[in-house]
Amino acid sequence: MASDGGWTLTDDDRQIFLVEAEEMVQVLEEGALELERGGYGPELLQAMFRAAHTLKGNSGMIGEDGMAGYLHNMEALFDDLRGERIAVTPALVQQVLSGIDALREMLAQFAQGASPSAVQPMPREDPAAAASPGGDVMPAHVQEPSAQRRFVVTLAVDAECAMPAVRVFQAYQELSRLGRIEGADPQQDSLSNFQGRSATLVLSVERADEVEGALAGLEEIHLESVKEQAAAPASPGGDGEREAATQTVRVRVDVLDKLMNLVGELVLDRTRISDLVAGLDGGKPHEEDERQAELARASLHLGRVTLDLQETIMKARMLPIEQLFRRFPRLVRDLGARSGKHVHLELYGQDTELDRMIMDELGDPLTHILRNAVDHGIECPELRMLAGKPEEGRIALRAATEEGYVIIDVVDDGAGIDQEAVKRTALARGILTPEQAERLTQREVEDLLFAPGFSTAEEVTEISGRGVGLDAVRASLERLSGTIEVLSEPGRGTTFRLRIPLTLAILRALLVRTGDEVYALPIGAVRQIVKLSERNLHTAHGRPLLSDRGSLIGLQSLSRVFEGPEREGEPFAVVVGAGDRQVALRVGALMGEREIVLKSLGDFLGTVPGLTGATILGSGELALVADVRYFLRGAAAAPKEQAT
Amino acid sequence: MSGPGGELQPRGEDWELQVVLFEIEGVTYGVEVDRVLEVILRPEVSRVPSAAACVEGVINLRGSVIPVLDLRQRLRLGGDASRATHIVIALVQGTVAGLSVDGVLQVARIPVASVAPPPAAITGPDVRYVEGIAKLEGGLCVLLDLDLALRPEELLAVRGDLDGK
Repeated sequence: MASDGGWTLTDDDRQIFLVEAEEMVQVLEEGALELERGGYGPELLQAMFRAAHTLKGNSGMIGEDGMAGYLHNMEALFDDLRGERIAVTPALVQQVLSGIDALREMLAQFAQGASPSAVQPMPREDPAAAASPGGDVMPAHVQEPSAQRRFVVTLAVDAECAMPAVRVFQAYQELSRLGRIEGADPQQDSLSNFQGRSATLVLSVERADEVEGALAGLEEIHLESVKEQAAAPASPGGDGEREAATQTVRVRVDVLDKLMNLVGELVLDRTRISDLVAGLDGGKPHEEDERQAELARASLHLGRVTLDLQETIMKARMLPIEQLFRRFPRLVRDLGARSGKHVHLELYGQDTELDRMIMDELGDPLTHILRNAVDHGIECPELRMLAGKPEEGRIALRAATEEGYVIIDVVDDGAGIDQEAVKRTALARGILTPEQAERLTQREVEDLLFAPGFSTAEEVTEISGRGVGLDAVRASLERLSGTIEVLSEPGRGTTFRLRIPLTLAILRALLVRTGDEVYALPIGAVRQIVKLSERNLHTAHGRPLLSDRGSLIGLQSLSRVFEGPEREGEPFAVVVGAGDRQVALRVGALMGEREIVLKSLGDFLGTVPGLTGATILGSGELALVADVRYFLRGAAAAPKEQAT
Repeated sequence: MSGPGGELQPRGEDWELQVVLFEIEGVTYGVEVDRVLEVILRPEVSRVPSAAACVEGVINLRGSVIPVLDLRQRLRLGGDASRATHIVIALVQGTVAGLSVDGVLQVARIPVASVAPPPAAITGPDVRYVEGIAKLEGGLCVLLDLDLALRPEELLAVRGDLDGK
């Protein structure tokens, strides 16, 4: 379907085309939203032109002439914009956005294996008509074209140079004094193992002749070439793009997963070996046996290397959260437009990194929260004016890292949560009794938003309804071992705060045994471990309770929770908790704290309630990894007993 | 058996199937050899709470967590898995799963000509996964389509029922 000649398109070709196409479409979409807000300059138009141009070239190359023709018109439009033959109007922005949607549609068809050539051509603006004065021309805060130009600098290291990394580093240092290094191959932070003989970097600097001077003082390295990066329309084939692309390599996701699994195995073996070494130590001090001491050292080293490897692989699986965030500005804009509100989404902390798997799972919950913010948070323009707020509503999407967690805040500057309205709804839905409603704190009221059944068909709108409530959002976060909470200030706005672990693949856990089954409890949820005795075991209303430093905690048998037999007289309780909920789990034995590799139970088992997966212990034994939140749900439903 | 089309595709009279034969509760079953990754002695199987009845549990296969499925449940054979001696590690629905079996007999070459369609008496929605009955020297063998016998959504549906009661 694709090629006319003898060349056939492989799956890899298609995949590469699609990935690149998505990047280009993203550039176009972000650009279109910029255009709409008016904060653009010639560079933006240039970037959009280039994206359309490159995509056109790529489409033509794989024989998708229909798409190429469509893009030709889009490219021409940006060329006219660039040449100021037409002006940016709301209609034009809409046209570009619709064009982008049509492109996405074509790409989706292409991904399905169809040839999307039978599409309507992109409507071609008549420059003369569009540029007519008096129209609804949007103001452009045209930025001064900067005096800086981009150069591609190629460096060559002498063949006899013993430490090319040092020379290249020095050269980077010198060049960074001249101007900004936009990109480099090899990258500066990966230089330590560099053994190559040439390096390429993209430098923003005013004059090319400065480059040579800067490098003159360095030995064993010299300037091979300085080329200005094409700022004019890229020639077919787009040299400019290719140079920027040399810094990274695309790795297939399954290759990364495989690497991650292998490292997981290595982590297990390391644990096994250090267990063995610890066992050997028991009898006599090392000094008596040189080989034993050697083994202990090797084991220690193995541990360090494994840890390093683990962190590096983990890093390779991490992607900047920008990948997830970048689809939202368009979403928010469209949602706002549909409900007659002007809403602008601001993105912060886009370089925060997150495990790819987790990122995939976050798309839907975040979409839901944003819909919610546009629909229920941001007021309509009239109300905002009355409240003395700018007409345009603002939603900020912020990501940051905090001790092994990524925090994502969705902050709107809308009306905040109407406590009374929430209570009324909860009463009407039967989630709350009138007596309970009286005593609720603000926090508890806000928590009601996440109660199952709180959001119902009655308030289904095109935007946030669909019968899926925030309870579904909370459930998806819990699947990721994350949490969500909401903070609201009446009249000032609402913040949804999501807390997600950086990665799910490796975690520390407390291993416990009940009967012959071993369970792993994620260490983050373990509050404390208690030896049970007559003094701290109590019963109230027939329910076992653990008393601990003045408070009473519900006690459940781990074996019973997991549908096993009742095991009498198990001597320990592990108190697990999240937020303000906690529960004590009765177990038979404690096996210590370990680093475990979380493995999925597989498609056949799907998501099993109460379990997040399984792990393999050093002994080869299997342990199931408990989802602590599962126990806590039960705890929340039980009446709270408080000792005074 | 389950070729790319999921159906038996005789390609001429001399076409043969290579089938791994195993026994459950005295009945001989066969699955296509390409499906079978290996056969292992049955290790300790860890129970998975709240999983479907036909999921016996999980095992550690050289560092991978593999679900073990009990065909007895699915094939309505009765008995229990404690008699099983081996686990057939096979590709089912594109994922790796183990099947508890009472014994593995052999790998047999079965001429396609000797495979009869399932008798009318046992057809019906429950036996879609029987591809055919093959005549062997020692008796009959039921050829199974594992993809049909063990569809994840069916397994999940079973669990849903248990949860519901």
